[in-house]
Amino acid sequence: MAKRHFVLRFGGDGAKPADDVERIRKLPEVELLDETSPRMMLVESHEQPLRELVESLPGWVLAPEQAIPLPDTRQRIKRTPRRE
Amino acid sequence: MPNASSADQYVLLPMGGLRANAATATPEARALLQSMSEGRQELPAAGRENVPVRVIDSIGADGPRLVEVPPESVAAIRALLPGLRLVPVTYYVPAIKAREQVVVAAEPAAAAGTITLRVVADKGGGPVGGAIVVAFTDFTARAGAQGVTDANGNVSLALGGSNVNLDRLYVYPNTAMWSLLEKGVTVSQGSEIKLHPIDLGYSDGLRHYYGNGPTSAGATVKVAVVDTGVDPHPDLVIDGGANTVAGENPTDFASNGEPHGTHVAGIIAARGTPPSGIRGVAPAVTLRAYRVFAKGSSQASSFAIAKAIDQAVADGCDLINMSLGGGSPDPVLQAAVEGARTGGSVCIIASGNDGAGVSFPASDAMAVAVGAVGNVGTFPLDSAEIDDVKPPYGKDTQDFVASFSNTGPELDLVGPGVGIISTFPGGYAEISGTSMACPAVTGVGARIVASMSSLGTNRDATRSAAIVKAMAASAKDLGFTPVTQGNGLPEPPA
Repeated sequence: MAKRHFVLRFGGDGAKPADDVERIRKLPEVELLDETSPRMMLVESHEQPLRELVESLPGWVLAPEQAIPLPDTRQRIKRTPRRE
Repeated sequence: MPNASSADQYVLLPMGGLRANAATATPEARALLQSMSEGRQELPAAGRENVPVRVIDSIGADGPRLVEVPPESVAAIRALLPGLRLVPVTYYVPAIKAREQVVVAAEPAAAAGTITLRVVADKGGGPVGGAIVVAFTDFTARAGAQGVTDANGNVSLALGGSNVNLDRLYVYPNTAMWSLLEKGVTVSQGSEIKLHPIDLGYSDGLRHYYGNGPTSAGATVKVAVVDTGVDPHPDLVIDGGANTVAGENPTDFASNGEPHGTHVAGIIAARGTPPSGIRGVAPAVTLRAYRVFAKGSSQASSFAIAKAIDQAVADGCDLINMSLGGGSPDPVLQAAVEGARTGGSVCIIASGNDGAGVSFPASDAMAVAVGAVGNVGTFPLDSAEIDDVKPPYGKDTQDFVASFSNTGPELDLVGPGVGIISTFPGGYAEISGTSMACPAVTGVGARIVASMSSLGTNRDATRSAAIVKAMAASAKDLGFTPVTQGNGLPEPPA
């Protein structure tokens, strides 16, 4: 399985615990993409080892990063015109 | 994969966690939850009919209740109990991989035959550059050609002939003009298409319902716009903000190249005076911009959005406008929206533009989900907005729920979202969408918050629950079903 981007969020009191962050950082093949948020981290990783670790850490949730599209109500062409 | 239940069963539980205690629920919410025993009950709603609920099961005295609720009562219950979450019961099914299927049949290549059309202003005849022209030869099949006009107002479209009958012709100008929809039109080489200029003194959908906000409206209230960033504009004052896109300059909260956020910001807080400028619903708010769309991108990362929500809460924003949505339910984004509520802030989120169910994250139980309404007579009848008109009509027979507006039991409120004139990089433009309805409701929310002297300074769940309750209580019934209008159109305090 290819590596994907995941968002990790600490839901407990206060900022994300440094010990937990260190354990996540030390997972093999985890690349830390953004840890500037007090509660969250954006990482690139294989899912299974990351999920297993996060599920063992109290207060954390994990989700694949997803892209939310810019809203637009304009009509669009989906097909070229039929040949006359 | 989770699937929403088709039955009207919900779990009623505290804002955070499973048990109602001082940390997870307001005293009012705790008392109400504990008073709910199994069987049919009626929740008293001030000034309205009581709301029926059947409690099917519960987990302990202070734990969640499994309840059965008619779909038309869901918005009313969320308004009555803003300190509790009403979450649809979810069933899990095996995650079987979807089979491949044909979506669009193969098409022949476009035939030779390109027509150049010219788009001009109907007053003065000046060329309109940067307009998107969408020409449907077969609207049902969405077949045709589209392009963008050059500086001379010209666009070349491969329509497959020299004299072509169009089912529909849409023109979406960049700024300064109304959109256009012509049906059953024949075009040929050099055909001229005329657009109506926007008059900033015109009573569009926003001004029809809310007028021009008083210059002092919304003072003391801090509002976040989580969007594509906000560009400098003569009618806008931006207090500050952040860019939460990973790898980008965190202080660059100007637009990413898309005008969406600048338009949204103007609906809330533009400070101009018509006819030389435009006025938002709450011009005196402290407006902060949080950019979550990367430069040149039309997609925002769930990480950037969650981070922006956290930052807006930390910056003391009372209301967080999110004119975006459409992803899958996501526990991280959900936690951020719910974290905002426990931090005293309220996320006001567009319901989506698919004419379908309320999209995520608006569908989250702790979000205020906003759909769009319009009023015939607040846009030119030959504008593309005419497409958004759909019966049934409201108590005012000119009112309608926009055809694109996502609806469902999760909907809380509606706002004007059809043909809304607002600030745009380099000028002004009209756009339609729940993206526009959402900031209209946020603006009204800011005026409501400004009037709530009892709110105090504690930024907690009690504060956010009081804001949500006051917004719902202000809502006027436009005469549509609760599933399509939620509690109705919020009204600013007198």
